[in-house]
Amino acid sequence: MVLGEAELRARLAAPLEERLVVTPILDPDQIRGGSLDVRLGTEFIVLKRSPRGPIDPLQMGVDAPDSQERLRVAVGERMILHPNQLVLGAILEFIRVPDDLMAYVIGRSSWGRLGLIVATATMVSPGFRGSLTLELANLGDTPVFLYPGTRVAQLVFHTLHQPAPAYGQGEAKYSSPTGPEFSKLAFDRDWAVIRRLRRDPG
Amino acid sequence: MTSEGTGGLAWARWETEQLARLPDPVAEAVSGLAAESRRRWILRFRLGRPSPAAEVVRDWLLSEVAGPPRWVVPAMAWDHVVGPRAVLLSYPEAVGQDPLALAYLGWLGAGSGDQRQAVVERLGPLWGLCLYAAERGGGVEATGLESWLSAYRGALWEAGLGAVVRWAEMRAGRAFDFAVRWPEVPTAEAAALRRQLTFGIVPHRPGGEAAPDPVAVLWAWAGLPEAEQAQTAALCTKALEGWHLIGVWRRVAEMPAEEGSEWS
Repeated sequence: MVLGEAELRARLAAPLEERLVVTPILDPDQIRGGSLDVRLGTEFIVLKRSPRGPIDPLQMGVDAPDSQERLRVAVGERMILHPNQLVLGAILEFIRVPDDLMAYVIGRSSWGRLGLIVATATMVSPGFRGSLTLELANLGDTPVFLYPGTRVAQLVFHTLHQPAPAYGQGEAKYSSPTGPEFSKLAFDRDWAVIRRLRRDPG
Repeated sequence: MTSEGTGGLAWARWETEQLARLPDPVAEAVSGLAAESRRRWILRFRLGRPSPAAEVVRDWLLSEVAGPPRWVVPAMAWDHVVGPRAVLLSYPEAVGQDPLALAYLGWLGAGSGDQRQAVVERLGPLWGLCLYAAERGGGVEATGLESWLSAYRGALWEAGLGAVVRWAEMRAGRAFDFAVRWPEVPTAEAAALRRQLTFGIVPHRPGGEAAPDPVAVLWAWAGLPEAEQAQTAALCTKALEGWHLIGVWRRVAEMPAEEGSEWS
């Protein structure tokens, strides 16, 4: 079941253990109908062309400093996203999804029509805490300015029939990030199998 | 040409090239310095970018203080330079994620007595904690500790900050050259915010509103064990950023359209 406006507001003010946390909400109007607007944050990871070779997920560590640069753009300033450029951003808000809720991230079509795709992982798991990383790509032919603070996506919250084990416990990979995070593909357990298969294909 | 002469030309050329890359107000402030200091500041701005926490703390403490814009950059030490169109502030890069230590930028960047008084009164119970955290970077001007202790000794012991009390009692420092109206400790607010920090979330008010006061957030954070402080520093910084943004956003949004078109 999708949470409506009244339920969203009630969950935002619930006791701490059950609370849906989204902060800061700069404008109460961000909660409308069955969704909550989230804004573009101030921190970015700009992915660059590396002269040292391709990204190999099999060899990748937590960071790939050769092909990325961290950047902070304050609210009120702007940055350019060139055609075919990919930049990792984050939502301005910190969110915490209670164990009985999950959410979908939906990019705003108004930005999509300018060529900007907010191609984030579209599901937010129960128990998630942090600022969601957004994969911002300009698929148009014209550079687009990005303005931190603008509404860039919507969250639609759903209730679960049974509360799920909390994200952020046990084997979770992402723990309370407050800015964009580079891929953590390297933590997937499947790589151990892939590595062995590469060494011993038979 | 002698090797010394060649070296001098090389330095001059390097400086000219580097100064041309800096924003005008920064280049202007740096240009007036003695050679060694000038080169040090050029390198700082060439190589470093301020941490998000440093920018957030600067905005919190100095955005309403009169004077030219404050530019912040990481370095190996606390330092400041006053130029005609910019005040340059540096902090030890090692404390770039520590909002309490970074609050010392408020003291460095405030300049005159009245402005420093405003910053100290805004920090209130955090003042000595800020000096304690900032001193790890060396070169801190420890001022007003006796006055601060007399106002907050009991609250500090209650908050489990006895180590800071003992440090402040041992640390000789000169008195303020102004009278400070020390504010109350936001004890009740801080208790609720500390619970949120230990729960692993950004301190906030129900409904998504930002925490009511950065002092309460930092007082809550200061009372955590050191290991937990390291884990929750980013949550703390995010709370300060939210508090600052909500204030500025609503102030600008309420301006008439023509005035509200520019961010300040």
